[in-house]
Amino acid sequence: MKNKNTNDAVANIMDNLAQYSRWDVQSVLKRFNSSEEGLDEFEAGLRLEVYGPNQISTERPTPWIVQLVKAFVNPFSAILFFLAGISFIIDVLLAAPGEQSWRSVIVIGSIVLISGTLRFIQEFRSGKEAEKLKDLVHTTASVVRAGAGKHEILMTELVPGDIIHLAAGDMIPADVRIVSSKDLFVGQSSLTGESEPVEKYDSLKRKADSEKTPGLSELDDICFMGTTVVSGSAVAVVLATGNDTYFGAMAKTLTGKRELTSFDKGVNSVSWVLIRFMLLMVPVVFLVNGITKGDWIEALLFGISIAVGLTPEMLPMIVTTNLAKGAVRMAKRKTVVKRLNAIQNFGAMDVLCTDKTGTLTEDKVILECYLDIHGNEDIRVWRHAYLNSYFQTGLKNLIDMAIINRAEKEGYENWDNAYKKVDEIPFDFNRRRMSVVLEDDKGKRQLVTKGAVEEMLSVCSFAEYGNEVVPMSDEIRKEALELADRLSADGLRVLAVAQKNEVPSESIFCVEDESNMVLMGYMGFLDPPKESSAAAIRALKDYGVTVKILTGDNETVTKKICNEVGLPVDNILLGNRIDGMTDEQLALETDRTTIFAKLSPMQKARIIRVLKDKGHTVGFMGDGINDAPALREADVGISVDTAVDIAKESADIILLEKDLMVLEEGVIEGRKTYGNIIKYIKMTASSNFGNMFSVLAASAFLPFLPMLPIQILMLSLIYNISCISMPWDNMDADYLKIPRKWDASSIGKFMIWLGPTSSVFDITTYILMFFVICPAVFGGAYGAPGVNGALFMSLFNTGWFVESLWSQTLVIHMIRTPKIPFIRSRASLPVLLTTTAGIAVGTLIPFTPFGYTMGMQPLPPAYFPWLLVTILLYMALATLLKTLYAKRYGSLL
Amino acid sequence: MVIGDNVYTAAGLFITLGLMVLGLIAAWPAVNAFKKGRNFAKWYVFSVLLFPAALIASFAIKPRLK
Repeated sequence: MKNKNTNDAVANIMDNLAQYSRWDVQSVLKRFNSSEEGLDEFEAGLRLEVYGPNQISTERPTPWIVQLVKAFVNPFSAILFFLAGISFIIDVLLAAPGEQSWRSVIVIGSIVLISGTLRFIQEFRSGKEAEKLKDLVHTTASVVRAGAGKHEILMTELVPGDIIHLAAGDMIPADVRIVSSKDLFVGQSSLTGESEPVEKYDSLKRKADSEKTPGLSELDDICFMGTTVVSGSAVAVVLATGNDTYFGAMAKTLTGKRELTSFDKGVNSVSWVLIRFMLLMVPVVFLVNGITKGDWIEALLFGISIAVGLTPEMLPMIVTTNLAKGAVRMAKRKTVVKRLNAIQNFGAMDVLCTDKTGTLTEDKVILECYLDIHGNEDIRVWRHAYLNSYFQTGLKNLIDMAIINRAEKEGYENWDNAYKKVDEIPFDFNRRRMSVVLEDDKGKRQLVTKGAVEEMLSVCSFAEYGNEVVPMSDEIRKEALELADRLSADGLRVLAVAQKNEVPSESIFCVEDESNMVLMGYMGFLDPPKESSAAAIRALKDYGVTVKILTGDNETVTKKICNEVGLPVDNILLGNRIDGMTDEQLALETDRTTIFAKLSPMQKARIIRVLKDKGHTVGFMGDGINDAPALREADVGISVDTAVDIAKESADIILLEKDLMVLEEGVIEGRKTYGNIIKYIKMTASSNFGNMFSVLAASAFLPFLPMLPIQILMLSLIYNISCISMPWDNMDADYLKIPRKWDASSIGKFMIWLGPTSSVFDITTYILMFFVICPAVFGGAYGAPGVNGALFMSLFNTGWFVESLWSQTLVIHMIRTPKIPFIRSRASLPVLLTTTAGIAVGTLIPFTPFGYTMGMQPLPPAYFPWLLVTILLYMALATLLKTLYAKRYGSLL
Repeated sequence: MVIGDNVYTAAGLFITLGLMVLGLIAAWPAVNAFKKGRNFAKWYVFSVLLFPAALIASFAIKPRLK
């Protein structure tokens, strides 16, 4: 039914869009009571009230009630609810009058309640923090409003009828009809899966067919919300916003398709292994106890209690709390974590690839020099570059802003007065240049182009020096490249400027017009590194993260920046060489290469993919439209608040402040998060494996149950409460120094090595209680004349309850570090407090009336020295084994 | 220690305990040998069968150069 409604909504939206696509621009504007001057602010305000904010419902925060329900929906809670149901039937419904007991149901319910409530609180808190920070990440649209002209507004404030300007790097903020366009290419892969950008026009190019609703790709004068402008520019009118857009209607089916990371898959697989382990153990325990003891009801209750004990109910809570805690801590450093799992990937990252401009360097590029072809200062070169930057309507990047800002600062802002723009040929990453066609007040036309030096030389047939124009020669070309190299070696980013006066009188120009140009000279830009770049690179190196530069810029200037930020350059690889390499050849080069220069966007993404295929966990930091494919490909995409929309959309993490030291904190936080999660998983897995030996040995060889079912449930409750604080635990400094990647095989090995350790002391406790302490208290062996069997069993149960609690709780301290616990490595205060409280409460229970109702009795003083010796020996054996394990496999956790 | 008629219980628990302790500490010589370039699994089996000899041998053998 839900799918049918969604399909109907999508079909209606498509019909409307197809209709607007067929109409001419004026009819569409009339339909929305708009004009090319845009809506006035009052009308826009009224429409905002009618149509609501331009936001699709899936982007809105999940209501708290839904979060609360989700916190309790997981396989572990389901198992515990089921077990509580069986306990209810046996202990309440089927029990004889007066013998009904709710205790088991209450204890199992408490475990579910504590776990679910804590998970909800953590998710709710981190969600709130993320929402607060998301408000700081502004996605804006360039709108034209009558009386206010062209200005930026929040994307959420757009209304149908608004006139917007689109440029390369913009996200399309709503469903729009193109009013006018120039070489507009739009990436629609998020909606249609088409990998290549499609060209959009201001009128329908396909053959009109009013009988049939066209497909998405056929509406070539309509742009859809959620798609991105790859190149070119356009003016468009907004047709629909928010949920009324095609993307809004499709959002329910488009969301939730994100591929699971190895971490997600790993946690899921461990969860199911533990569940399967429990499902295997419980019938065995039930059968062995039923056969050896003869009381099948008691054996069933014991089996249920063992199932509760073996269910790692706290696992979802521990995982969520750890990730949420990491996100909240990053939020305090003004870093938005868009996807919680990115925190864990941050810790696993061993290679960070970064773009240079705007990420490693300041986002304020400064115009340093303007030179003719022989390297002499020439203001004409600057003036032409200014005209190019001023009149282009595409994305004004840092270079354009540097040219314009310096002209305004030095009083040349009237350079454009005598000109009007005829047309422009927008920038793209293959040509790496852009042009404007201008006409002065005398009607003289000029094509002015600026771009990367080599690409400019390829379209120049002449060179200009003074007022003399000479044919381009190999000598001039060589001189030009040498001058550009010299400037690059001084750390300057160099662009060439060219012009031509022989321009046709037509009004539409294309890339082919960029030919027979006259090279005028060069512009040199200083792009200084951020203050924190050097320290951040040093810190990342200390933490085992290799930094590589992936840039579209040339290798000389990149090398200079690397020297300034203290990044040793081992090898340089250029984009044109990469194209000729197979993935295998590129893989061989990637490890020894520091700088990858002159890269296209797809080459950046390819390098990331090759590094990932080699087993690296790769981060990518970038801020431009050319970084978007690499940001998507990386395990952790990092962007900055000043980045273009598509880069921010593609990133997992957005830095709101310029300080790159936050990268180091992210790495540490990620490793702490992973450490605390894997600690709990390994502890639970090994503890469950060990308990298998203890319970099976007791079931097979003891004449009674080693612990009553309610005592096992109580033990599980106290232990689970002790684990609540684990996300707040410290990790050793040594552990944080190495990238930590999910490794499923280490869990199995750890379980086999460390699991049986506590079981050894469970069995020594059985021996001690059965053959020493209980006979001493009751005056003889079990079954001997005059010895009360029930009391003997009760004291035995109490002894194992206390020892089991001590060893199970102390295992937290043993496993959290490869060092000697308490002496060389101490847990955090919350962990110390909860584990101490757990042990204290569990030890005191047998001495209370509550303990008596649970079938326990006070332990004799002679028990405690034995307990102390048992615990000390347990810690010694665990220390020996964890040291051996770390020696064998290189790391404990 | 009072065993009484509980011989089955005593035998079961002591044998289980012995096997478990042996299984755990047999890792010690095996890890020593592994660090000196020997096969871990073979040394573990050797150690389970003849723990004292394996322990002495694991300290006595010379590291094998790769």
